[in-house]
Amino acid sequence: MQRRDFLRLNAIAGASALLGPSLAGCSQPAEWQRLMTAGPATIKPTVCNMCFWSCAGQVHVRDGEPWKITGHPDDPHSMGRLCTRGTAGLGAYYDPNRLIKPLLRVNRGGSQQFDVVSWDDALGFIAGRLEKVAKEHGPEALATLVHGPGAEHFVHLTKAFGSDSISEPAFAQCRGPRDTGFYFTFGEGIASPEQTDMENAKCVVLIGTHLGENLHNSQVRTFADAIRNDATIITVDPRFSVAAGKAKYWLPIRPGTDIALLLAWTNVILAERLYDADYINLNTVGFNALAAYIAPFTPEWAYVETGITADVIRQTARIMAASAPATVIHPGRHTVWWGDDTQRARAVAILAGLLGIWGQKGGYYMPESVALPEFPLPAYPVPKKSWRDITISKFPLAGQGVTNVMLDNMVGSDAYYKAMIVYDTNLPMTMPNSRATLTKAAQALDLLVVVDVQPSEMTGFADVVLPECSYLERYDPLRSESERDPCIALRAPALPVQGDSKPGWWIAKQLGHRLGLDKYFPWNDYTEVIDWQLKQVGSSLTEMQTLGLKPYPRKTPLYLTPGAPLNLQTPSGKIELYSQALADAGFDALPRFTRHAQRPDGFFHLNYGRAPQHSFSRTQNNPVLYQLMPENLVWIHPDTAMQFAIDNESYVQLVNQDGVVSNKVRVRITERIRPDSVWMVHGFGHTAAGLTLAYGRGADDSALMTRVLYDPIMGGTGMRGNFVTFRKEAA
Amino acid sequence: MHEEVLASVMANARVVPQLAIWGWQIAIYLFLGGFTGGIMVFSGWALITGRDEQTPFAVNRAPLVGFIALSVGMTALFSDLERPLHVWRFYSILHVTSPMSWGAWILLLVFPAIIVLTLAGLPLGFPALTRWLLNLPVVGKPLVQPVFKLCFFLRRPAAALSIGLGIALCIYTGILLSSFNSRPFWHSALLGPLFLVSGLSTGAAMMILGAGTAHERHLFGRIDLGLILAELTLLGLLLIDMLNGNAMQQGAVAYLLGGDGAMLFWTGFVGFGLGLPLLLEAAMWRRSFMVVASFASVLVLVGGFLLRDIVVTAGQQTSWTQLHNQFNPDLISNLRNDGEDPSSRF
Amino acid sequence: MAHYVMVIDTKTCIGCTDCVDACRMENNVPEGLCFDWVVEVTTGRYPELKTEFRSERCNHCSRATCVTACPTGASQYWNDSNIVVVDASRCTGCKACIAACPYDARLIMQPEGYIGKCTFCVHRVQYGLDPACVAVCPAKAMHFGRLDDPTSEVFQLLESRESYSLNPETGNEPNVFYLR
Ligand SMILES: Nc1nc2c(c(=O)[nH]1)N[C@H]1C(S)=C(S)[C@@H](COP(=O)(O)OP(=O)(O)OC[C@H]3O[C@@H](n4cnc5c(=O)[nH]c(N)nc54)[C@H](O)[C@@H]3O)O[C@H]1N2
Ligand SMILES: Nc1nc2c(c(=O)[nH]1)N[C@H]1C(S)=C(S)[C@@H](COP(=O)(O)OP(=O)(O)OC[C@H]3O[C@@H](n4cnc5c(=O)[nH]c(N)nc54)[C@H](O)[C@@H]3O)O[C@H]1N2
Ligand code: SF4
Ligand code: SF4
Ligand code: SF4
Ligand code: SF4
Ligand code: SF4
Ligand SMILES: [Mo]
Repeated sequence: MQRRDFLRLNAIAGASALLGPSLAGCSQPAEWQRLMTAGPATIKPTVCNMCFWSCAGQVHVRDGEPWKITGHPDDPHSMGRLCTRGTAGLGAYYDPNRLIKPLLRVNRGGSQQFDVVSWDDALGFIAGRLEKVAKEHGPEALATLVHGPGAEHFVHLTKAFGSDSISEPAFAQCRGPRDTGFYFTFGEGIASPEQTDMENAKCVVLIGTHLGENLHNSQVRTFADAIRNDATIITVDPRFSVAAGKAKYWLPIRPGTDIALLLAWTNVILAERLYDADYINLNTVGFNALAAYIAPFTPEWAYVETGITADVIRQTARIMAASAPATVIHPGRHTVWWGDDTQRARAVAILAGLLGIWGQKGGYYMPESVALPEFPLPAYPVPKKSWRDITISKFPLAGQGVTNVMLDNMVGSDAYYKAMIVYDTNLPMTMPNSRATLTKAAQALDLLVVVDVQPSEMTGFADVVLPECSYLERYDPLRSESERDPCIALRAPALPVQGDSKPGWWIAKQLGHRLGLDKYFPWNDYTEVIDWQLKQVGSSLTEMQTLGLKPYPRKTPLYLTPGAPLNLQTPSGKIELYSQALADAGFDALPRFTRHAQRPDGFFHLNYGRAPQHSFSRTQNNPVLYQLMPENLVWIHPDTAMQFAIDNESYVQLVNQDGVVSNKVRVRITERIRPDSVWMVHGFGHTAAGLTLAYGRGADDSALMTRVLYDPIMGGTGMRGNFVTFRKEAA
Repeated sequence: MHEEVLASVMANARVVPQLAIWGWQIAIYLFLGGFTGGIMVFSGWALITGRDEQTPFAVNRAPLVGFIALSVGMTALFSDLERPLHVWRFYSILHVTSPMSWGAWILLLVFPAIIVLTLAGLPLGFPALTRWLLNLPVVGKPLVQPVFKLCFFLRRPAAALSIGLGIALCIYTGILLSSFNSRPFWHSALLGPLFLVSGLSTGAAMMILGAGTAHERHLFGRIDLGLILAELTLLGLLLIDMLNGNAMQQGAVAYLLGGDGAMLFWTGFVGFGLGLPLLLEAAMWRRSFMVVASFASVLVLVGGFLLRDIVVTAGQQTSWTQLHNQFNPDLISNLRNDGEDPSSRF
Repeated sequence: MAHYVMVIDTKTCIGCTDCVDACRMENNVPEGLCFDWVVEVTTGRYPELKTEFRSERCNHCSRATCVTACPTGASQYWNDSNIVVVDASRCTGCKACIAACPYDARLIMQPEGYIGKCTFCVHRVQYGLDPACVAVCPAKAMHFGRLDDPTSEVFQLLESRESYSLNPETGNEPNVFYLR
């Protein structure tokens, strides 16, 4: 199956001595010589699923052999260039650890194990359990935790079944605070892809956002454009990130003090009247309240909290204002940090509002999508209970289902939920401090189904594991996102399906059929849905199978007319510098700075993030990416290393404030980290033995996050309040 | 502070030591090449100067030893080729800029010369073997006999040629390495002379070991004493040359003088390979003792190999590029083999 | 003579190693080996720091010592250009060229045993396409073209911006340039 021959270095060193290498292939030309005369490759369209940015790509097949994947040249996400992970997509297809058969948990002689079963048995088992749950507790007792573009199939199934308890980690573990904060300021969240007009910006402000390591394709490309255009880059990060290395101003902020910095910036802009008074009058409410509130938060005050000198705070604020509206205040993406994250996002949004960058060239552009009609289907049954019933009392302003609330409601014999479907998300590593709860939930639930492509940690909790085929082997819902240039992209099968794995749409439809929900799945093949939708917008499946991506002209302007009123969807129609809605719900109407827990003596901030070579916890077993980065490292400042007598490249274990000990992890001693912090890349330290490459490699940040700082407004799981110290490995 | 690491993992030779360019096979080949060259020089010299009586080993027997040594050396070289079946490609072209190419062609000339000397010496040197060859069925009388005769007839011209080819062979092994500008430690004009002297010295040592007469042993003992002295001088000059060279050359010398290679260099090569035999040979200036002389010769041979091994290794320790993996490159060997059945894991 | 050069902008390179990845896929590089690699250089002390990434590969030297050292002529210039390639059918695997390359750009292809290295994607260059690594770079930090053509992008970039190449002291006349 494997296209590449695997190299065993040790074997070579030994064998080449006297045996001589294999005689085979001696007369063969070199690969480049073969390529010189190779005929053209066949090209099939795909949409990358190595992360959720969903770049349109092209799979090249040569002589029947998968060769490579490149970006679709017309795609605004990729512009013909996939990122490091997307380029390695074939590794996900070839991964010999892939799930290729349905598995059913059985109890045999007191010990549990997975049996390989037929699809019929697996689906029949699930349908039986789901019907029992529906009969005893109502269909609302099903919760579905999903992620990614393929999630749509299971969202649909869940709604057809009669439950609205659907949630994805993209909210409470990722963008929730940002979108909530912007919603209460601008009346809408930030789009994905983020509508940051970096290619036209004169100033780009990154607060945490570590573009370069965070490799969201078009974000990185437009960031590079900004660098090329000599825009002033201001990077706020306790670590000398790649983006900090590109910045004119690197503000190595004390972790957790960003709100202080944001308030001080706002203070400077108001104190020095660096705003456009007409714009403020026309488009904002609460300016006077803000001005009164902000007065004490001077740069001098902020210096004490953040460690950033008043001078630098003033200088950077002036540059932002001078460049406005061509200033991108990046809204961030993974924003669940310290529990006051919605308020931090509010502070960001207020700054953006004051600078007048909403809808402006070089600021935030106005994204647009192709209006793709829904395939006509009967209305979903109306659930008698909703996720809101268990959520709003805890997190009053949660705009959508909160994964952690749902999970908490799966524990115990009288739990709200009795069944769970998990699709394309690896909850034990994704949700901080969730393993214990997951274990209890798995015991309490009548059914836990996991749809995955590989034997991830999550599959270990499942009653039934359903093997989905990789994104290169399946159709998924059309990509039609709000962005700069509206377009539609098609993910179509490019390669033969491996083993007994199946596309998500097939799995959902088969379950629907067994649950008597055929009327919600009136197609034989999902292509009928895609084709119907495409025909509504003047295309067709046949056309898209050759095009892969179809651009559509914009119907609305990319930028708003300067000087015209914004007409936002907030209650006031204006930028709500002061949020009455937050005040009404009992929260601070203006963002408040709170000092977070200090690190205990001998402990260090556990800082984490991305590496360009990997996505979350999904790519560590990819043989292509493994070769670029086989393990994560823990970055330690030289002073810290000296203090603990830790050698570069030795392996240590990390111990957190609650005594949790990590797997061993290799040390990188570097100046690029603050002396009070350590840093590691999220997604390593796999404990699932079926991932033979990734298993036991590096350390898992989420396991060390036993202190979760919940955002009281929307339920986000703040992950940054954890501290670690070192345990040197016994040899 | 200056931190330079690879952001990707590199499993190339410079970063992963087990992929080093040349290992012991090349050291063996260089050693045996020089050794054979030394034998050819001294056998040729003995023959031309008519020392058949005083140095019977050098004249009659040593060429066979050289022939075998060179064959073993060639086998080592061959075994180091990544594509041994393509060995004939060496002889499809003489690439004038490539010492490797020159070497291949020199070997092609060396073999006939040493075979002539070997066969010419065989009847007197190894009578039993000669008889056996002559009595071989079918080929014995009609083929072997005339060949012996021919070789004996050609032995003096072949001897003259051998001196030249022997020197070429010794020097070539040094020139091959010193032509590599890319490996600073090898890039010294002194490497050729050093390897020449070392080759001659090991050749002389072989003569002592196999000496047929006390005179032969004593003669080559004195010769070797001079050669060892010359070798020490050249070595000293080489080190001085390197210490005054660029940073990379200094680094390579540091590797020998005080680094990981110091033990082998000082104790192995300088101490046992040069110093001790030098003392022993000097002590035997007036009279040679078989056991002591043989012991000294064995040390010289070991020293000869160590020199090649040390130089081959040290040259590969340094380079213009300094690549350093931050991730553990050993993990790359974890890549799995094809065709595992995922379902078998459950 | 066609003079091909690669110009890499360290100002925009983010060290993502996509170039390494793309090369592996394009050229079917055996597992565990690579034709290109990315070096990360950090200088200074916290908080006065500078990090530079450099995507490195064979320099397709105008005076390539690997070509002169090769006994069989397997290492050669392609089509009268400075692109250095290895004809596998002529290669003995003697490794003289590996020893001769000051940039450590060569490696043994497994299991075939011939010598591999970056080819500047000559199979793409012959059709006027950019090499795979250049074509993939998400930061558009890489440029490829002919230095003997004054209208080319690479010529203009080298004209207008400060640049350096790796160890020009080798005398090999390397042809991968880095913009500061
Ligand atoms: N500690 C810590 N936790 C975090 C973060 C962090 O930085 N640190 N980041 C947070 C953020 S920002 C996010 S967005 C979330 C992301 O969290 P997740 O969405 O859970 O992402 P992954 O960890 O990649 O898990 C994806 C799972 O889907 C499976 N999978 C991959 N491809 C497919 C497919 O095609 N089909 C199916 N059915 N399954 C597939 C993978 O095998 C894996 O089990 O994590 C959050 N959690
Ligand atoms: N290669 C790759 N790219 C990805 C992903 C991936 O998995 N792999 N995932 C994608 C997804 S879904 C998301 S959400 C994004 C996440 O990426 P971002 O939104 O960029 O995530 P952050 O949490 O801001 O990034 C972590 C950075 O914040 C810094 N930081 C830590 N503590 C603080 C602090 O207190 N204040 C400040 N100002 N900075 C701090 C860290 O040093 C680090 O550099 O990345 C996306 N891009
Ligand atoms: S950003 Fe990279 S991994 Fe994510 S979808 Fe695009 S190419 Fe794939
Ligand atoms: S792909 Fe481009 S940005 Fe990424 S490491 Fe290579 S040269 Fe740098
Ligand atoms: S970098 Fe090395 S392999 Fe490439 S042309 Fe120059 S000498 Fe030859
Ligand atoms: S290994 Fe091959 S390419 Fe290299 S020098 Fe030897 S024959 Fe030439
Ligand atoms: S030019 Fe081609 S062969 Fe060379 S590193 Fe780039 S992709 Fe690889
Ligand atoms: Mo995320």
